Amino acid sequence: MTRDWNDLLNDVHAIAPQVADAEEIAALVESFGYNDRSVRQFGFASVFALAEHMYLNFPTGALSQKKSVESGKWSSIWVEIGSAARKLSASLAYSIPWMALLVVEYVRPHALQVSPEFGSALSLSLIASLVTPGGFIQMIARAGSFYSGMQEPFLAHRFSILLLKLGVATTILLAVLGLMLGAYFHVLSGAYLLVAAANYIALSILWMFCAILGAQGIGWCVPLTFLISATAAAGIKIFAHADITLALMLWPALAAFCAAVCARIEFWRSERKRPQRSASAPPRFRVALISLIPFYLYGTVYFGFLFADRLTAGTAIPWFSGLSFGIDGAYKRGMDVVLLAFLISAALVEYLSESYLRYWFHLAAELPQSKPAELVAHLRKRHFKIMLVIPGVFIIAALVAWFVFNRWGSLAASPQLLETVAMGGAGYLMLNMALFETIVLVCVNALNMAVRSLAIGLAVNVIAGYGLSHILGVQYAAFGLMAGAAVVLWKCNAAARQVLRHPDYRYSVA
Amino acid sequence: MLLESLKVGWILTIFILLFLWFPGRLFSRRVNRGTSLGIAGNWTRMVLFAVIGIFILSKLRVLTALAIGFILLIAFALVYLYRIDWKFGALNSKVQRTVVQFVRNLETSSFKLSSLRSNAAASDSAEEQRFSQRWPELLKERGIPILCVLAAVTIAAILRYADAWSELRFNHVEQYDYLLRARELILNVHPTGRPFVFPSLIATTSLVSAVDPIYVTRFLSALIGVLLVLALGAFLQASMRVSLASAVAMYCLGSAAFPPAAEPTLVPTSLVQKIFELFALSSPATTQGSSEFELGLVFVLLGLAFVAEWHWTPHKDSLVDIACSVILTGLISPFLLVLFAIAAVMLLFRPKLAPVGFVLFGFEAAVYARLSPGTSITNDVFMTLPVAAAIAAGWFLAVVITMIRSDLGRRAEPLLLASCLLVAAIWFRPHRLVSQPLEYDSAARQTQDIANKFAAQKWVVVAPVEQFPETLGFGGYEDLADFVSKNRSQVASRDFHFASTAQDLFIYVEKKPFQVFDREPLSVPFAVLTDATYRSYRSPAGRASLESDALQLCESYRQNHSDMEVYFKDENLQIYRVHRDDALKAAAQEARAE
Repeated sequence: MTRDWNDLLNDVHAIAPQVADAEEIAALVESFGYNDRSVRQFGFASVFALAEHMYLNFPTGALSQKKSVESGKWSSIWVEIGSAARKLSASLAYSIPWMALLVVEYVRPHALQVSPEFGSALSLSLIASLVTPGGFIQMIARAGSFYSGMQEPFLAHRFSILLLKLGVATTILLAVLGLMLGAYFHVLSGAYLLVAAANYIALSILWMFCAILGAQGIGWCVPLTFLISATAAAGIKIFAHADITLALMLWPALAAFCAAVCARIEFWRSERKRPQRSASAPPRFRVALISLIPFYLYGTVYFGFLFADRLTAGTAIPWFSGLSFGIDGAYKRGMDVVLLAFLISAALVEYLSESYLRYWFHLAAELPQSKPAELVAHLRKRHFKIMLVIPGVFIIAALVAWFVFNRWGSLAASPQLLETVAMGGAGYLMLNMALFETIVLVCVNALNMAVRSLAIGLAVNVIAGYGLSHILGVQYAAFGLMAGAAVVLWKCNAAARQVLRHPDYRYSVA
Repeated sequence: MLLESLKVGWILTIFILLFLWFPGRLFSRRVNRGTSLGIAGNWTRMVLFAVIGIFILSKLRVLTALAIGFILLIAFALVYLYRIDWKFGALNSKVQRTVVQFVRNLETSSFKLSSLRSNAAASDSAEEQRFSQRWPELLKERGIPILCVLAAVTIAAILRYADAWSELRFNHVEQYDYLLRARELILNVHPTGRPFVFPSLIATTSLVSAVDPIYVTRFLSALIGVLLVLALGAFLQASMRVSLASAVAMYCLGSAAFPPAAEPTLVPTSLVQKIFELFALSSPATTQGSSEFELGLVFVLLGLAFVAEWHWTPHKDSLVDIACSVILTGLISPFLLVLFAIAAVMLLFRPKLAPVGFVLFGFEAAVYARLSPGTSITNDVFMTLPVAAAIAAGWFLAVVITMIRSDLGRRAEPLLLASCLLVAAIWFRPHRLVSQPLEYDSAARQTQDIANKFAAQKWVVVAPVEQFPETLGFGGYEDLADFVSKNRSQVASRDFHFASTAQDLFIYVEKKPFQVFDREPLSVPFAVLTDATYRSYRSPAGRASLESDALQLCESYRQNHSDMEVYFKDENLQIYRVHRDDALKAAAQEARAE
């Protein structure tokens, strides 16, 4: 932590060149992690006492002038390019392995062919592993990024591992519950249930470690981890003449192990760089956990929404197939195409939302407080432009994906496939636009609005998708996605417009 | 045996939770909440909801355990929100407090479950106090009648569950229909059509309990019989208000106390013989309605009990219960609806004469149907006779009690009880209920075994018609008679292979052909005689002939082919299995295409 109260004052001034009163300074000081106990080292009885003193000595105007002289056109372009590269690489890092798998499926369809029952077990466990730890992934990402950004590697390590342990315990509990329910309702036979449970646990741990790697700022390790583990699994298949099912079972465990090793190394490296931070006082775990619960809800609901259509499509399998769960081939192919477009454009959305927020905070700091309408006008104009860019990028990505897969593989344009692609595409497009709104809402501390919108959208997605896929056909599970995404977009857009009515207030509480 | 006990316990537990406990929560604000008629009213409403729900869900092809669970969850949530006057904010705060407390306990590693229970305990304590205070008083005042009722119900349960416990096969032909309908509902095919009410109950219970419908059908059929006895008691108590008479009527019906008819040697032709035959049909040991019809009788009797209650104490809940009973009765049988209407009108004017009206209508309709051949009156009329006879016995005893009560006072009932016990012990002992199985128990068990062991939709069973409802949804079925007539001339050839493309083919052959009747019936309608099912499977001679041909076919095939083995064998039944690997399957498919 900073040694002198002047250093702290400079930090506060760098973030907020203009402050309304001493309470605002107190809020900023507390946001740095200081409390009444820690400010005693500066000789003040409480944070408010320190804030009063800092307010009396608050510099006016000099820093903002200095900053405005420093920022030029080229440096801002470089900042943008750097930010874009970081965001795109971090987001696409998760998509690349999935894209690689998709390519293999189309180019070499027989390489990954397994029995229908095993396929059901793998699909179910994969979807479950993406939905249920989604909340923990968000919590780890938030807490890890926060403490890493504060240059507190020991606290980042401690919290990440605590949350990971909690996530693993929950995962195991859910796996046992899933086993019991699966056995009770005869979803799969005994052996396949165990396979699904083991796969679920391994994948959940893998995704949580990937979140840790992202929070540590080494997201490039994620595709590397997947590559190493996939190579190892392929090697076992080829040289040990193992069955493809064994290779597919081993891959998540190997990947989780690689990710754990990478995370451990990075924790050790960053802790060695800042050994003086080992004495930093941690906040109470209970308080930190409760503050992260909204992020847990957000993550769970978001990932649940993303994969609800696959779950409902899987339950719409006809009874004469002999399976309780299985995703129709044409549905999967159609949705894979648009999901690919979604993942590519979602990476862009992440960058655009970060850029928008930086623009917002920059304007809020620069523009005088007596001109709020100007701030609102600028923000709305930018918001509108971004909402035009997102659909454009998505449509281009979807068309390219369709063209590529049509050329490569067996993407026969049956009416069912076309319906799936049309509805799924519309759904993912709206979800992309809603994602932008959601990220903005999360970053300006309006997380509850985002969670509520997603929860309502999820309910619509599940009910409409489940009902229509059973009544009309499996391709109508995508209609559920489309309807749910429309609801999410509508609610998030309304929430974002409400937030933009008072952008200065939102900036201060962000 | 242990597994069977667990299964029946689980099925009954789910049934009670779904149809008794859950509606108790749903309709918690009804006036007569804790009384037996209140519970019966809740049950009736819940059955109607289930029937309507199953119809809609199956018609929309969304009927699954998930859908039912989802609907139950929504219903629970709505009831809870209704209780807290739709205050979402309060709910939100409660959830937040619970989460914070949980995290606090997690941190300190202390889970005080008592604090979680305390809220529930506080709200239910007043209710429990009332409940616990009422029962001792009830036992003190009416201990003897209650014991009599319990004894009657216990005997009824033992008689009905005796066969269901020990055998997997069904005792009545209609039960195969119910099983087939229940499976069709669960698979979302053919949602409309009768029977519907009982299969809906089977489907709902099966989906929630995750037990195969064959077990649910078996145990719920027995339960319906017990419910009929209880409904009879409720009706007589509500109309006549003489507990002992109700208990006696319940005993007469539940234990099949009236002696069964002797096996007829000649077809009755004279008036006296026909009327005598009718009285003989009044014993449940001779006549037993199908489960769906018995369920209809339950709703009729309960409906009449609700009418009686409304007559004594009018309130809105009774009217709703009556409406539900009428709808359900109408869904099951129009004849029962007429019976209900007549008895209900009498009940509104003179409650104590309503049982008489029921008995008179039942017997008069039966006499008319028996003496007038070609009449449009349904054969269902005969199925009401055991109930009518039991009501007659109960009513008669109620009259006697009323007459002697003025002279003997409080000693009347104990004296009469003693007399009834004596009479029951000497002349009206319990009798086994009528039972007519259609297959060997091992056939039913082996079918279940195959369904559990082999992957779904990859095998076919070739067997009598009873195996079709037992296999629907799990695997394929082919009629044995068709199979034999199609293949018997070709099996001797080495190049011949069965046309089925399934991985496994199971052929059921009875070494000792099953006898549905001990001997050929004295008279059989021409339409039945020409029916293929009767000729091949019901007629002793026809079945023997078919099974002999089937045995010859299988042995002949086995001699010339290596892909057949004996999968199961006991003293009555032999099951052959033909296992096909992929090459042979492809060859068979090609041959079929050509």
